[in-house]
This record gives sequence, C-alpha cells and structure tokens, in this order.
Amino acid sequence: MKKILGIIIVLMLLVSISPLALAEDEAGDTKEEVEIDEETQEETEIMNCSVGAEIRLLQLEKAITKNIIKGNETISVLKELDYNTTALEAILAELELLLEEVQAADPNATDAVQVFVDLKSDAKELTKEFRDTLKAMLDDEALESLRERIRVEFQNLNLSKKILNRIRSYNRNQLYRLYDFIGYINNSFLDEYENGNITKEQMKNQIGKIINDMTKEKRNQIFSELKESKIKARIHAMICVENATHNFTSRKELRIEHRLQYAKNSQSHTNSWVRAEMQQRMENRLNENNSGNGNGGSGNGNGDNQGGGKQ
Amino acid sequence: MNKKILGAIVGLIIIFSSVLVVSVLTNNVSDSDDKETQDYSTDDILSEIDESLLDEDGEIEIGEMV
Repeated sequence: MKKILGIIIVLMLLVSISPLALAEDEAGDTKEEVEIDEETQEETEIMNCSVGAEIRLLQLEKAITKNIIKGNETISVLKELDYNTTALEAILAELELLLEEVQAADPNATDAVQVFVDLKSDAKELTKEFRDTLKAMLDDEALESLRERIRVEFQNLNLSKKILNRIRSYNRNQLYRLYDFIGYINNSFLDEYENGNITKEQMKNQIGKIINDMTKEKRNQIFSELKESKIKARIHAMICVENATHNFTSRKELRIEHRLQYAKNSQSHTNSWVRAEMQQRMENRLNENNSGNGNGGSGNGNGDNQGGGKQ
Repeated sequence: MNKKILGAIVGLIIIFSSVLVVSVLTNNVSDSDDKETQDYSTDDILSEIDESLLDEDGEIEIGEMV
C-alpha cells in the first residue's frame, strides 16, 4: 500500500515539475529572441515578391524622410530659442545614415524581409530616442506649441508618386491572378488601372459584376482559392519573420558597428561636435549590448546626451 | 486494499479517456457541419479581394518625432 502511494506521489511530483523545467528551457532559448510586432508581421505578407518588397522599403524610406524633415524643423525652432541641440542633431544624423541603408537595400535579396524588419526597428528606436530626448528638454506646453509650428504639409511628391506606381503595379498582379481564377482576363482594364485611369473601386465594381453572374460552385471555388493564397502568404511571412527574430541582437550590434565605421570613414556630418556625439552614442549602445543589457533598443547613450537644454 | 486503489486509478483513466474521445468526436462533427453549410456571396469575395489589394495611401508607422 505504502509503496503504491509512494510511486503515485513521485509520479505526481514528476508531472508537476516537468512543465517548469520545460518552461525554463524555453526561456533560455528565447532569451536572445525579439518579438516582432503584429503590424510589421502584416507588412511583410506582401514581401514574397520583389514588387511587394520594394513597396515596403519605399514606404519605410518615406516614413524616415518625413521624420528627418520634422526633426530638422524641430532643431531649427529650438536653435532660434537658444537650446543646445547637439544630442538631437546626433540622433538625426544617425537617422540620415539609416535612410541611406534603406535606399541601398535590395528588394530582390532573399533576406529582404529580415533587412526590412531590422531597419524598421532601428528607425523606430531612433525616432523614440529623438522624442524622449526632446521630452527631457521641453515641458508639455512647449512641446505642444512646437508640434503646432511644425505641422506643415509633408508631401514628398516624387517618393509618394513612386510608391503609388509600385502599389498599382502590385495590385495589378494581384488582380491578374484573380482574373486567372475567374477564367476571364481583361488586360486593357488592368492596364487602365495601372496607368491610373481607373480607380481601385471601379475595378472592384467590374469584378463584382462578373462574380454576380457566376454559379454558387464557381463563387465558392474562387473564395477558397483567394483564402488559400492569403494563408500561404501569411505562412510565408510568419516563417520569414520567425527567421528574422533569430540573432536579432547580434545583427543589431553588427549594424551599429558598420554604421559607426561608415560614419568615421566618411566624416558624414559637417559639424564635428555632432559627428563626435553621434559616434559616442553608437559606441555607448555597443558597450551596452556587449555588457549584456541586450535591450539595445533605446540606447540613450550617457546622461550628457539626454539633456540638451538651453545654452 | 491495493486492488481498490488500482481499480480507482483504472476507473479515473477510463473516465478521462472517454471525455477526451467525446470532445474530439464533437469537434469533428461541428467541423464537418461547417463545411457543408459554406456558401459565399459576391460581397464575401469582394471583401477577400479588397484584403489582397494594397491601400494606395498606405504608410508605414515608425512613430512621431515630437
């Protein structure tokens, strides 16, 4: 009797301890991994073709360009008010280097998703760093009036036009595939859409009319094929994003090292103070990463960098 | 006494496995029911098409500077 009870207790203990042991193992495995946000994951779903990858890289380029324009505007306003803007200029100078990296990224490369995830993450971090540094310099009221001052129209027309053209080209390919499912290809209509003579809504209306005339079975078949291709794209994106999470921290270190080296070699910024500050911030981030903080994210550098303040 | 304990353990195992089998079977039945009743309207298909197309004004968010 006692033996059986003993065995049952031991078994129960083993069963209850094993999940804990497994959980510890998993925690150890994922220590280096980074979670990619859902928004980014969705954005990568179109990157399984070069047009889709090009669109995302162009959109990232546009987002960074807009922030650089806003950052420059902010700095010029602060300079008028006699603030020390060296820290902000250093962050902006790094954002400019990042912009060059985005422009140089190859949408046809097999690791395009990984590059996009990495560079977008850097862009978000530098933007946050700029915002936090600014917050430490100004009170809420001053920040609000600054927001008002820089609320200008940001129409970087050339870039927007290029993105729009690529999006129409991507949508054309998608619609071509759809016409293929339907078994009715209207190339002239597709060309009209791609050239901007027909809107997306008009295209959808035309397709709606064709679908209305179909049998129930055909409609179900098209729906299933659309769902299937969507699921395939999602799975592909999930795999790519999952791969992008591996060695995220070490890739980040490598990027900062390359950026730092490039900044040193090219003497990228005309103002030597800003250049020195930027290099110092990058070195601080590298040291933080090496010392095992791993967060590597906010990389605010040392306390001196944060301050700024009035001269 | 030993037999009683063993009997109780065997009984518990049988109850758990029956519950498991019943739940798996009910899930399968509801899945096959779903398959039989699937019918899609033009709007369903157009909404799927809409999801597969990109928004022409779409942008990537990296946060605000100010």
